[in-house]
Amino acid sequence: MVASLDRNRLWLITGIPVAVFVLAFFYYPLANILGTGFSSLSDTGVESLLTSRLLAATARTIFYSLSATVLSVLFGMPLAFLLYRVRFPGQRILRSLVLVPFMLPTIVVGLAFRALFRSNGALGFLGLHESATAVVLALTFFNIALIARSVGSSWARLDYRQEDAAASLGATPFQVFWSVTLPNLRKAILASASLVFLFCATSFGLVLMVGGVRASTIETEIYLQVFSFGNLGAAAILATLQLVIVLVLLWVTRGSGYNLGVDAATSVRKFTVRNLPILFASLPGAVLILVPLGYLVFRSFSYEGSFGFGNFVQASAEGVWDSALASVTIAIASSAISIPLALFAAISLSRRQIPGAVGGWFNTALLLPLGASSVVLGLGLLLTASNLGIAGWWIIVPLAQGLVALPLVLQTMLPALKSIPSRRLEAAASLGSGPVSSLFRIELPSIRPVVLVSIGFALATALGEFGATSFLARPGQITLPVFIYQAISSPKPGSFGVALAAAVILTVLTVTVLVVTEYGFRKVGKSANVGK
Amino acid sequence: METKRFNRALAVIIATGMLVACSSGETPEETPTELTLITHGSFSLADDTFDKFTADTGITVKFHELGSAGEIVNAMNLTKNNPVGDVVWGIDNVFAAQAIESGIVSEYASPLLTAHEAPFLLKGYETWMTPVTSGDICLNYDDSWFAASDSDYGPPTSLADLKNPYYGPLIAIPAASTSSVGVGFMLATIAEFGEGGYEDFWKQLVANGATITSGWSEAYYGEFTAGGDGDKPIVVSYGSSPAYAPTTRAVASTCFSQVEYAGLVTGTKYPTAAKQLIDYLLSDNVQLQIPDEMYVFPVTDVALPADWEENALKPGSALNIDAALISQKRSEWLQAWTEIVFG
Repeated sequence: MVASLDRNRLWLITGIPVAVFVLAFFYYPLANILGTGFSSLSDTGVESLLTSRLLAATARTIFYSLSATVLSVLFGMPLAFLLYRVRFPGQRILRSLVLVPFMLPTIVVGLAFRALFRSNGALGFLGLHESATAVVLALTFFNIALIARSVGSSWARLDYRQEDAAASLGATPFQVFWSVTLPNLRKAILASASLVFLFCATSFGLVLMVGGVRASTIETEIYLQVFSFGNLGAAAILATLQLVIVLVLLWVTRGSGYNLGVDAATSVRKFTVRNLPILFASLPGAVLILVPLGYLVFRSFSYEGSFGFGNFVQASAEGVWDSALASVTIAIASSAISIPLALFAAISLSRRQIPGAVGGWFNTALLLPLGASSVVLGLGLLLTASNLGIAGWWIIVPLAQGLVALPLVLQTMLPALKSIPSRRLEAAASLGSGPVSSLFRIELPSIRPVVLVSIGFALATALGEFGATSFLARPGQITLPVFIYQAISSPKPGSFGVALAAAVILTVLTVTVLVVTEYGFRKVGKSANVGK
Repeated sequence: METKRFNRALAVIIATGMLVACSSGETPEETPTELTLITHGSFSLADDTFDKFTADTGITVKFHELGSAGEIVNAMNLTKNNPVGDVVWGIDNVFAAQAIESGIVSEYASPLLTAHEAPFLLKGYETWMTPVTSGDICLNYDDSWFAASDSDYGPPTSLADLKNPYYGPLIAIPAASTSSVGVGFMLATIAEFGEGGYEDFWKQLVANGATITSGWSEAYYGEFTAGGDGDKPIVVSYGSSPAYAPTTRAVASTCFSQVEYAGLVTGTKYPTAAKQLIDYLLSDNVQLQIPDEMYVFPVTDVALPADWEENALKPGSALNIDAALISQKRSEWLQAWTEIVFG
């Protein structure tokens, strides 16, 4: 029955649910809010935009985002190698640890960077306080994990034979990397670098906190127009400008053909002395991740002038564990939405029967949610949910978070699914295997490690989420990021320490959830294999 | 499979949502089983606060957080036709007139208000909203820092003092563009120097090297000497802040009064029950908790915590601007402020 399914329509069948989801939760709310904005547009609204500040904000948005993207790739690549291309004990914990910056609330990261770079701070001598460099470093801190994990998972699946062959013909390690490895990873790097750019281009709080309030970008101008000047029309113009920039970027980095000489079952080699140079090369990235995190952990243990658990005790008394539970529940619910949808989308986009133009546009359409202003999207979701009378429903927040995680998860899965050598699928087909059965027997099992990486992204996105859903009702309890924001905004004695303690708890929780899921899923996968 | 089931669930959600939206025609008012209170991000009360309200009326209270006061007003304006709640908590005097003029709240001031709360009523709109918290935004300084300093200058005693270049590098201010404390402080300077003078004050402050942060937390916990790791002994914060930091003082002549109001949301299906909820917000069950839960003053004459009695600066004779004037000019003032500070 399944085997008789028309091979030509599998892309359509898997694509439609995903299309319905993004139409309902992204495009419709976005159109709704932009429409409201443009219809309220007045001449003064447009005039207030035509300032040199806007030009500077646009230039700054592009500069920050491009620099942080380049830096994330440079710092993230050696980490990708270490975490995925070689094996060593304790690796799995490190893989989860690099994801921590990705889910930390921006207010905590912002305060950590400010504290480090302030004139009396530990790195004050660098003179980077409120500088463009500080913003780029902070944005890079957030996004290294994206490069390390998604490029790494593709790297782990590269066949060693090509590299070995080049090396045996006398190529230096650098030549091997440059002319063999890098071309094979090009697609994965481009895909994750685009995501980094999108994240940076819509970053709001971090830019203001680390760069100073004058470091305005398009996103901060949108906030200013909506909430300070009540000018939704101007905000709609800016949000459209932002979408155009994002679309241009996506068009420039759009993928061409993709065909790696990859075999799925490559076993990763052990770390050896020969890999030492890469260990050194990964130091800048590791330092950039560890210094702010170290500062947070250190500060969380300083309580009333001495070292101890005081902040954690106070945080417990104020209900941090309830928040932790709420965070995990919502994160799991939203991952249960984003993972299957992303898998469907990846299956659809990786079918060779999908018409090229359709695939290209569909892929771009699924990426766009990351490049949209979270202020505008948040208001759009609120407007739509209130029109439907469902603004207070529990499921709305996991759905919105799933929307934010979907592009990320998809871009992690897609390169892996596309890279399965067509000869294997053809061989299966010639043996009578239908498209559905080869999907389940060959394709999905071979991308299992990548699915694990995506689950990590989905959970981390949800655990740290605070942006796009900020106008939707928070279901029942306060999540950890909300708890942290409330503590940090409160003048109560010790509440700053409580916020830091909660941030450390969020960190430990994230690492635990990631290690448990990664380990658990791996076990399930193994026993399933044994069953065959 | 999972996705299919999910999509079916999604279809049900959307369909039900539409049904709910369509079936809400004009029907005689009934007693609801629940009411939704729209709140700001700093809203916090003990879990059992509304138990008595539920016991008395049979109505459960739910919450919907919409960010800062400014964010609440803008978000409610957007959802005017299908409001997400019945009562709103936390629109302050900076945004109250705008909320009233744009029609997102309907006229209702609780009959339980007494002469004690009269000073907190919104001038010009006394019968429109019910004050629930009060407080001030004031210059705070770290007394121990100035005691240890060997400079000729002591702590500032007025806003005009800040024009002195000595204080420029010593002060941290939350930005009016992104912080409600910042808006309050900008309004304090307008109340003090007038529309003609406040721009010069800010130009001077920026030229003197004042630190402007995006939010209150960065200023107080990040920059202030008595708040965390900072090196600035002067900060713009609340009049109540010294209750928590005994080495600090608030400068009374620099305070801008900030009163938060509860309002009846226009378009609620249950105005009678919503009014009962507003009345309940003035009860001791709520008002007694306000200092410790939300770090501002109650409006009724309930007892204050001991450290508040001792160190906090009570709101009263602070700087003020007519609510209607704020509503009319706020955006213009902010535009000018942004141009001066952002350059």
